[in-house]
Amino acid sequence: MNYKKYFLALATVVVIVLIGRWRLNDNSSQPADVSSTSSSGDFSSSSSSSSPYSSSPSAPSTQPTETWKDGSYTGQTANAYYGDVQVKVTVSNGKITNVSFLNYPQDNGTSRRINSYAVPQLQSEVIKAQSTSVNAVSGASFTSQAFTTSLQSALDQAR
Amino acid sequence: MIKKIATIMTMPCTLTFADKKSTKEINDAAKTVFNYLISVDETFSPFKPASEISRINRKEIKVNEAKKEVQDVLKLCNQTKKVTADYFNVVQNDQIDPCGLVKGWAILNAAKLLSKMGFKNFMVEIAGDIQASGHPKDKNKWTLGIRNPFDITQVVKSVKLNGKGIATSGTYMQGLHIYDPVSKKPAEEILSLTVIGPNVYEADRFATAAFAMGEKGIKFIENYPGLEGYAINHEGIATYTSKFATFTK
Repeated sequence: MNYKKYFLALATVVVIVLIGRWRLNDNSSQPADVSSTSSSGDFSSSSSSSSPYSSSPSAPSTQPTETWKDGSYTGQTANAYYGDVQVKVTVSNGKITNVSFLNYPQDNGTSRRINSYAVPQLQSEVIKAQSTSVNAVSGASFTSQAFTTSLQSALDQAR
Repeated sequence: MIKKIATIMTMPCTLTFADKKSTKEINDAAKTVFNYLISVDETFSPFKPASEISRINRKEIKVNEAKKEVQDVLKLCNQTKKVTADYFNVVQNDQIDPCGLVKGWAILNAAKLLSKMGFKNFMVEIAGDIQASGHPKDKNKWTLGIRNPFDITQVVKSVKLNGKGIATSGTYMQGLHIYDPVSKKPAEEILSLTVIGPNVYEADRFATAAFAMGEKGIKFIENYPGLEGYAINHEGIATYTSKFATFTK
Protein backbone atom coordinates (compact mmCIF):
# COMPACT_ATOMS: atom_id res chain seq x y z
CA MET A 1 0.00 0.00 0.00
CA ASN A 2 1.61 3.28 -0.99
CA TYR A 3 1.33 6.52 0.92
CA LYS A 4 -1.34 8.00 -1.32
CA LYS A 5 -3.58 4.96 -0.99
CA TYR A 6 -3.14 4.97 2.77
CA PHE A 7 -4.07 8.63 2.95
CA LEU A 8 -7.03 8.01 0.68
CA ALA A 9 -8.24 5.15 2.87
CA LEU A 10 -7.87 7.23 6.04
CA ALA A 11 -9.59 10.23 4.50
CA THR A 12 -12.36 7.98 3.21
CA VAL A 13 -12.96 6.59 6.67
CA VAL A 14 -13.02 10.05 8.24
CA VAL A 15 -15.48 11.35 5.65
CA ILE A 16 -17.72 8.30 5.90
CA VAL A 17 -17.73 8.56 9.70
CA LEU A 18 -18.61 12.26 9.55
CA ILE A 19 -21.42 11.59 7.07
CA GLY A 20 -22.68 8.67 9.14
CA ARG A 21 -22.74 10.71 12.34
CA TRP A 22 -24.52 13.63 10.69
CA ARG A 23 -27.25 11.38 9.32
CA LEU A 24 -27.61 9.44 12.56
CA ASN A 25 -28.03 12.46 14.78
CA ASP A 26 -30.38 14.34 12.45
CA ASN A 27 -28.34 17.48 13.04
CA SER A 28 -29.75 17.70 16.52
CA SER A 29 -26.93 16.56 18.81
CA GLN A 30 -24.23 18.75 20.24
CA PRO A 31 -21.10 17.59 22.00
CA ALA A 32 -21.43 17.41 25.79
CA ASP A 33 -24.93 18.85 25.61
CA VAL A 34 -28.35 17.35 25.88
CA SER A 35 -30.61 18.18 22.98
CA SER A 36 -34.05 16.97 22.13
CA THR A 37 -35.97 16.52 18.98
CA SER A 38 -39.60 15.72 18.60
CA SER A 39 -39.95 13.71 15.43
CA SER A 40 -41.29 10.53 14.01
CA GLY A 41 -37.95 9.20 15.09
CA ASP A 42 -37.45 7.12 11.99
CA PHE A 43 -34.26 6.69 10.05
CA SER A 44 -34.97 5.79 6.42
CA SER A 45 -32.18 4.23 4.46
CA SER A 46 -31.53 4.70 0.79
CA SER A 47 -33.01 2.46 -1.88
CA SER A 48 -31.43 -0.92 -2.51
CA SER A 49 -28.33 -1.34 -4.59
CA SER A 50 -26.89 -4.54 -5.97
CA SER A 51 -23.46 -4.18 -4.47
CA PRO A 52 -22.69 -3.68 -0.80
CA TYR A 53 -19.68 -1.55 -1.66
CA SER A 54 -19.96 2.21 -1.96
CA SER A 55 -17.68 4.36 -4.05
CA SER A 56 -15.11 6.40 -2.17
CA PRO A 57 -15.13 10.16 -2.08
CA SER A 58 -12.03 11.69 -3.69
CA ALA A 59 -8.91 12.13 -1.60
CA PRO A 60 -7.58 15.54 -0.64
CA SER A 61 -5.04 16.77 -3.16
CA THR A 62 -2.52 18.30 -0.74
CA GLN A 63 0.85 16.59 -0.63
CA PRO A 64 2.30 15.64 2.73
CA THR A 65 5.08 17.92 4.00
CA GLU A 66 6.40 15.54 6.71
CA THR A 67 9.39 13.37 5.84
CA TRP A 68 10.36 10.35 7.91
CA LYS A 69 13.52 8.32 8.58
CA ASP A 70 13.74 5.28 6.32
CA GLY A 71 13.09 1.92 7.95
CA SER A 72 10.38 -0.26 9.44
CA TYR A 73 8.80 0.72 12.70
CA THR A 74 6.53 -1.37 14.84
CA GLY A 75 4.11 0.49 17.06
CA GLN A 76 3.38 -0.56 20.62
CA THR A 77 0.59 -3.05 21.08
CA ALA A 78 -2.51 -1.12 21.97
CA ASN A 79 -5.52 -2.59 23.64
CA ALA A 80 -8.90 -2.37 21.99
CA TYR A 81 -11.28 -4.19 24.30
CA TYR A 82 -11.83 -6.91 21.76
CA GLY A 83 -8.12 -7.65 21.41
CA ASP A 84 -4.75 -6.16 20.58
CA VAL A 85 -3.97 -3.80 17.75
CA GLN A 86 -0.43 -3.37 16.52
CA VAL A 87 0.61 -1.37 13.49
CA LYS A 88 3.82 -1.53 11.44
CA VAL A 89 4.94 1.44 9.33
CA THR A 90 7.50 1.21 6.51
CA VAL A 91 9.32 4.33 5.34
CA SER A 92 11.27 4.51 2.07
CA ASN A 93 12.93 7.62 0.68
CA GLY A 94 11.44 9.63 3.48
CA LYS A 95 7.86 8.68 2.72
CA ILE A 96 5.50 6.23 4.41
CA THR A 97 5.13 3.42 1.88
CA ASN A 98 3.22 0.88 3.92
CA VAL A 99 1.01 0.65 6.97
CA SER A 100 0.01 -2.83 7.99
CA PHE A 101 -1.52 -4.62 10.93
CA LEU A 102 0.75 -7.04 12.79
CA ASN A 103 -1.94 -7.73 15.32
CA TYR A 104 -5.64 -7.32 14.92
CA PRO A 105 -8.57 -8.42 17.03
CA GLN A 106 -9.45 -11.82 15.66
CA ASP A 107 -8.59 -15.33 16.65
CA ASN A 108 -4.77 -15.43 16.53
CA GLY A 109 -4.70 -19.08 15.65
CA THR A 110 -4.05 -20.24 19.21
CA SER A 111 -6.33 -23.21 19.36
CA ARG A 112 -8.90 -22.94 22.05
CA ARG A 113 -11.73 -25.27 22.71
CA ILE A 114 -15.00 -23.90 21.50
CA ASN A 115 -18.11 -25.96 21.19
CA SER A 116 -17.99 -26.30 17.46
CA TYR A 117 -19.89 -29.42 16.67
CA ALA A 118 -21.50 -29.42 13.26
CA VAL A 119 -24.09 -26.70 12.98
CA PRO A 120 -26.23 -27.32 9.93
CA GLN A 121 -28.83 -24.74 11.02
CA LEU A 122 -26.72 -21.70 10.10
CA GLN A 123 -27.92 -19.95 6.95
CA SER A 124 -26.30 -17.46 4.61
CA GLU A 125 -27.41 -14.66 2.34
CA VAL A 126 -25.85 -11.82 0.38
CA ILE A 127 -26.41 -8.56 2.22
CA LYS A 128 -28.53 -5.98 0.47
CA ALA A 129 -29.38 -2.39 1.38
CA GLN A 130 -32.93 -2.12 2.73
CA SER A 131 -35.32 0.75 2.37
CA THR A 132 -37.37 -0.16 5.45
CA SER A 133 -37.95 2.67 7.85
CA VAL A 134 -36.32 1.90 11.22
CA ASN A 135 -36.47 3.44 14.69
CA ALA A 136 -32.73 3.00 15.37
CA VAL A 137 -29.66 1.33 13.85
CA SER A 138 -27.32 -1.19 15.46
CA GLY A 139 -23.73 -0.99 14.27
CA ALA A 140 -20.19 -1.12 15.56
CA SER A 141 -19.04 1.96 17.41
CA PHE A 142 -16.08 4.02 16.34
CA THR A 143 -13.40 3.12 18.85
CA SER A 144 -10.29 4.37 17.13
CA GLN A 145 -8.27 4.78 20.31
CA ALA A 146 -6.29 1.56 19.92
CA PHE A 147 -5.60 2.12 16.23
CA THR A 148 -4.36 5.70 16.60
CA THR A 149 -2.35 4.84 19.73
CA SER A 150 -0.41 2.15 17.93
CA LEU A 151 -0.06 4.16 14.72
CA GLN A 152 1.20 7.20 16.63
CA SER A 153 3.82 5.20 18.48
CA ALA A 154 5.10 3.76 15.20
CA LEU A 155 5.25 7.22 13.61
CA ASP A 156 7.02 8.64 16.67
CA GLN A 157 9.89 6.25 16.05
CA ALA A 158 10.14 7.31 12.43
CA ARG A 159 10.72 10.99 13.11
CA MET B 1 -41.87 10.09 19.87
CA ILE B 2 -39.27 12.18 21.68
CA LYS B 3 -35.52 11.65 21.34
CA LYS B 4 -32.93 12.91 23.77
CA ILE B 5 -29.27 12.71 22.73
CA ALA B 6 -26.05 13.33 24.60
CA THR B 7 -22.41 12.53 23.94
CA ILE B 8 -21.00 10.54 26.85
CA MET B 9 -17.93 8.25 26.88
CA THR B 10 -17.20 9.89 23.48
CA MET B 11 -20.25 8.03 22.11
CA PRO B 12 -23.74 9.19 21.14
CA CYS B 13 -26.28 8.14 23.78
CA THR B 14 -29.88 8.28 22.59
CA LEU B 15 -33.09 7.93 24.58
CA THR B 16 -36.30 7.42 22.59
CA PHE B 17 -39.57 7.90 24.48
CA ALA B 18 -42.91 6.62 23.18
CA ASP B 19 -44.95 6.92 26.41
CA LYS B 20 -47.44 9.73 26.83
CA LYS B 21 -45.59 11.81 29.40
CA SER B 22 -45.19 15.51 30.13
CA THR B 23 -42.19 17.44 28.87
CA LYS B 24 -41.01 17.82 32.45
CA GLU B 25 -41.19 14.08 33.14
CA ILE B 26 -39.20 13.32 29.99
CA ASN B 27 -36.61 16.01 30.68
CA ASP B 28 -36.18 14.78 34.26
CA ALA B 29 -35.85 11.20 33.09
CA ALA B 30 -33.25 12.13 30.47
CA LYS B 31 -31.26 14.12 33.00
CA THR B 32 -31.29 11.20 35.46
CA VAL B 33 -30.17 8.69 32.85
CA PHE B 34 -27.45 10.88 31.36
CA ASN B 35 -26.09 11.71 34.81
CA TYR B 36 -25.99 7.99 35.54
CA LEU B 37 -24.09 7.26 32.30
CA ILE B 38 -21.62 10.05 33.05
CA SER B 39 -20.96 8.51 36.46
CA VAL B 40 -20.37 5.12 34.83
CA ASP B 41 -17.84 6.71 32.50
CA GLU B 42 -16.09 8.41 35.39
CA THR B 43 -15.87 5.14 37.31
CA PHE B 44 -14.97 2.71 34.55
CA SER B 45 -13.14 4.56 31.78
CA PRO B 46 -9.48 3.47 31.43
CA PHE B 47 -8.95 6.75 29.56
CA LYS B 48 -9.88 8.84 32.60
CA PRO B 49 -6.93 8.97 35.02
CA ALA B 50 -9.16 9.39 38.09
CA SER B 51 -11.44 6.42 37.35
CA GLU B 52 -11.44 3.34 39.58
CA ILE B 53 -10.24 1.25 36.63
CA SER B 54 -7.31 3.61 35.94
CA ARG B 55 -6.37 3.53 39.63
CA ILE B 56 -6.42 -0.26 39.56
CA ASN B 57 -4.31 -0.26 36.41
CA ARG B 58 -1.75 2.03 38.04
CA LYS B 59 -1.74 -0.35 41.05
CA GLU B 60 -2.90 2.47 43.33
CA ILE B 61 -5.69 0.27 44.60
CA LYS B 62 -6.37 -3.43 44.47
CA VAL B 63 -9.54 -4.80 42.89
CA ASN B 64 -10.92 -5.74 46.29
CA GLU B 65 -10.40 -2.13 47.45
CA ALA B 66 -12.41 -0.66 44.59
CA LYS B 67 -16.08 0.44 44.67
CA LYS B 68 -18.59 -2.38 44.90
CA GLU B 69 -19.99 -1.81 41.40
CA VAL B 70 -16.46 -2.11 39.98
CA GLN B 71 -15.94 -5.41 41.79
CA ASP B 72 -19.37 -6.59 40.58
CA VAL B 73 -18.55 -5.72 36.96
CA LEU B 74 -15.14 -7.41 37.13
CA LYS B 75 -16.82 -10.53 38.52
CA LEU B 76 -19.21 -10.47 35.55
CA CYS B 77 -16.20 -10.09 33.24
CA ASN B 78 -14.62 -13.19 34.77
CA GLN B 79 -17.86 -15.16 34.40
CA THR B 80 -18.10 -14.10 30.76
CA LYS B 81 -14.48 -15.11 30.18
CA LYS B 82 -15.24 -18.59 31.52
CA VAL B 83 -18.28 -19.24 29.33
CA THR B 84 -16.52 -17.97 26.19
CA ALA B 85 -13.37 -20.12 26.49
CA ASP B 86 -11.37 -16.98 27.33
CA TYR B 87 -12.35 -15.18 24.11
CA PHE B 88 -13.92 -12.48 26.26
CA ASN B 89 -10.94 -11.04 28.10
CA VAL B 90 -10.78 -7.55 29.59
CA VAL B 91 -7.14 -7.83 30.64
CA GLN B 92 -4.35 -7.09 28.14
CA ASN B 93 -0.75 -6.61 29.26
CA ASP B 94 -1.89 -6.47 32.89
CA GLN B 95 -4.25 -3.56 32.11
CA ILE B 96 -8.02 -3.81 32.53
CA ASP B 97 -10.46 -2.36 30.00
CA PRO B 98 -14.00 -3.57 30.75
CA CYS B 99 -15.72 -1.55 28.00
CA GLY B 100 -16.91 -4.68 26.18
CA LEU B 101 -19.23 -5.47 29.09
CA VAL B 102 -19.78 -2.10 30.80
CA LYS B 103 -21.56 -0.59 27.79
CA GLY B 104 -24.38 -3.16 27.71
CA TRP B 105 -24.48 -3.33 31.51
CA ALA B 106 -24.87 0.46 31.77
CA ILE B 107 -27.58 0.60 29.09
CA LEU B 108 -29.57 -2.09 30.89
CA ASN B 109 -29.22 -0.24 34.21
CA ALA B 110 -30.39 2.95 32.51
CA ALA B 111 -33.42 1.09 31.14
CA LYS B 112 -34.19 -0.16 34.66
CA LEU B 113 -33.99 3.44 35.91
CA LEU B 114 -36.59 4.47 33.31
CA SER B 115 -38.87 1.56 34.25
CA LYS B 116 -38.69 2.63 37.91
CA MET B 117 -39.74 6.12 36.83
CA GLY B 118 -42.84 4.67 35.18
CA PHE B 119 -41.76 4.49 31.54
CA LYS B 120 -42.78 1.40 29.56
CA ASN B 121 -42.15 2.13 25.89
CA PHE B 122 -38.67 3.39 25.15
CA MET B 123 -35.25 2.61 23.75
CA VAL B 124 -31.89 3.30 25.37
CA GLU B 125 -28.96 3.31 22.98
CA ILE B 126 -25.23 3.89 23.26
CA ALA B 127 -23.49 3.91 19.88
CA GLY B 128 -25.34 1.06 18.23
CA ASP B 129 -26.12 -1.11 21.28
CA ILE B 130 -29.80 -0.86 22.15
CA GLN B 131 -32.28 -1.98 24.82
CA ALA B 132 -35.79 -1.94 23.35
CA SER B 133 -38.62 -1.84 25.88
CA GLY B 134 -42.28 -1.98 24.88
CA HIS B 135 -43.04 -0.52 21.45
CA PRO B 136 -43.64 2.70 19.51
CA LYS B 137 -47.18 4.08 19.12
CA ASP B 138 -47.78 2.85 15.58
CA LYS B 139 -46.43 -0.71 15.86
CA ASN B 140 -46.27 -3.44 18.48
CA LYS B 141 -42.49 -3.77 18.34
CA TRP B 142 -39.50 -1.48 17.82
CA THR B 143 -37.86 -1.76 14.37
CA LEU B 144 -34.05 -1.88 14.49
CA GLY B 145 -31.74 -1.86 11.51
CA ILE B 146 -28.35 -3.55 11.16
CA ARG B 147 -25.80 -1.20 9.66
CA ASN B 148 -24.03 -2.05 6.41
CA PRO B 149 -20.33 -2.31 7.33
CA PHE B 150 -19.44 -1.32 3.74
CA ASP B 151 -21.60 1.80 3.74
CA ILE B 152 -22.56 3.10 7.16
CA THR B 153 -25.37 5.23 5.74
CA GLN B 154 -27.25 2.04 4.82
CA VAL B 155 -29.16 -0.65 6.67
CA VAL B 156 -28.91 -4.25 5.39
CA LYS B 157 -31.42 -5.95 7.70
CA SER B 158 -34.27 -4.90 9.92
CA VAL B 159 -35.49 -6.74 13.01
CA LYS B 160 -38.51 -6.22 15.26
CA LEU B 161 -37.91 -6.30 19.00
CA ASN B 162 -39.98 -5.91 22.15
CA GLY B 163 -38.20 -6.32 25.47
CA LYS B 164 -34.90 -7.45 24.00
CA GLY B 165 -31.41 -6.11 23.50
CA ILE B 166 -29.26 -5.87 20.38
CA ALA B 167 -25.54 -5.19 20.08
CA THR B 168 -23.07 -5.17 17.20
CA SER B 169 -19.32 -5.74 17.39
CA GLY B 170 -17.00 -4.90 14.55
CA THR B 171 -13.88 -3.04 13.62
CA TYR B 172 -15.06 -1.64 10.28
CA MET B 173 -15.07 1.88 11.67
CA GLN B 174 -11.28 1.65 11.93
CA GLY B 175 -10.93 1.28 8.20
CA LEU B 176 -12.25 -1.03 5.52
CA HIS B 177 -10.46 -3.84 3.72
CA ILE B 178 -7.30 -4.01 5.72
CA TYR B 179 -5.26 -6.72 4.03
CA ASP B 180 -2.49 -8.82 5.51
CA PRO B 181 0.38 -8.12 3.07
CA VAL B 182 1.95 -11.52 3.70
CA SER B 183 -0.96 -13.85 3.10
CA LYS B 184 -2.82 -11.43 0.79
CA LYS B 185 -6.00 -12.40 2.64
CA PRO B 186 -8.20 -9.83 4.34
CA ALA B 187 -7.03 -9.23 7.89
CA GLU B 188 -10.55 -9.67 9.16
CA GLU B 189 -12.83 -12.45 7.99
CA ILE B 190 -15.88 -11.13 9.86
CA LEU B 191 -16.53 -7.39 9.69
CA SER B 192 -19.63 -7.20 11.85
CA LEU B 193 -21.43 -9.47 14.29
CA THR B 194 -24.85 -8.52 15.61
CA VAL B 195 -26.36 -10.36 18.57
CA ILE B 196 -29.96 -10.26 19.78
CA GLY B 197 -30.32 -11.36 23.40
CA PRO B 198 -32.87 -11.31 26.23
CA ASN B 199 -31.39 -7.90 27.10
CA VAL B 200 -28.62 -5.60 25.85
CA TYR B 201 -26.17 -6.68 28.60
CA GLU B 202 -26.25 -10.27 27.30
CA ALA B 203 -26.20 -9.13 23.68
CA ASP B 204 -23.21 -6.83 24.22
CA ARG B 205 -20.91 -9.18 26.14
CA PHE B 206 -21.53 -12.04 23.73
CA ALA B 207 -21.22 -9.87 20.63
CA THR B 208 -17.84 -8.78 21.98
CA ALA B 209 -16.67 -12.32 22.69
CA ALA B 210 -18.07 -13.90 19.55
CA PHE B 211 -16.56 -11.23 17.31
CA ALA B 212 -13.12 -12.08 18.72
CA MET B 213 -13.70 -15.70 17.65
CA GLY B 214 -13.79 -14.73 13.98
CA GLU B 215 -15.68 -17.11 11.72
CA LYS B 216 -16.39 -19.44 14.65
CA GLY B 217 -18.28 -16.70 16.49
CA ILE B 218 -21.65 -17.20 14.80
CA LYS B 219 -21.48 -20.91 15.65
CA PHE B 220 -20.90 -20.01 19.29
CA ILE B 221 -24.01 -17.80 19.20
CA GLU B 222 -26.02 -20.59 17.57
CA ASN B 223 -25.00 -23.01 20.31
CA TYR B 224 -25.63 -20.58 23.20
CA PRO B 225 -29.24 -20.61 24.46
CA GLY B 226 -31.22 -17.39 24.21
CA LEU B 227 -28.99 -15.67 21.63
CA GLU B 228 -29.45 -15.12 17.91
CA GLY B 229 -26.84 -13.61 15.64
CA TYR B 230 -26.13 -12.09 12.23
CA ALA B 231 -22.51 -12.01 11.04
CA ILE B 232 -21.31 -10.18 7.93
CA ASN B 233 -18.03 -11.18 6.31
CA HIS B 234 -15.58 -9.23 4.14
CA GLU B 235 -17.33 -10.44 0.97
CA GLY B 236 -20.72 -9.10 2.02
CA ILE B 237 -22.09 -12.54 2.86
CA ALA B 238 -24.15 -12.75 6.04
CA THR B 239 -24.42 -15.90 8.14
CA TYR B 240 -27.22 -16.05 10.67
CA THR B 241 -28.48 -18.37 13.37
CA SER B 242 -31.44 -20.74 13.04
CA LYS B 243 -34.02 -18.63 14.92
CA PHE B 244 -32.77 -15.21 13.79
CA ALA B 245 -35.51 -15.06 11.16
CA THR B 246 -38.20 -14.98 13.88
CA PHE B 247 -37.14 -11.36 14.42
CA THR B 248 -37.50 -10.37 10.78
CA LYS B 249 -41.13 -11.40 10.28
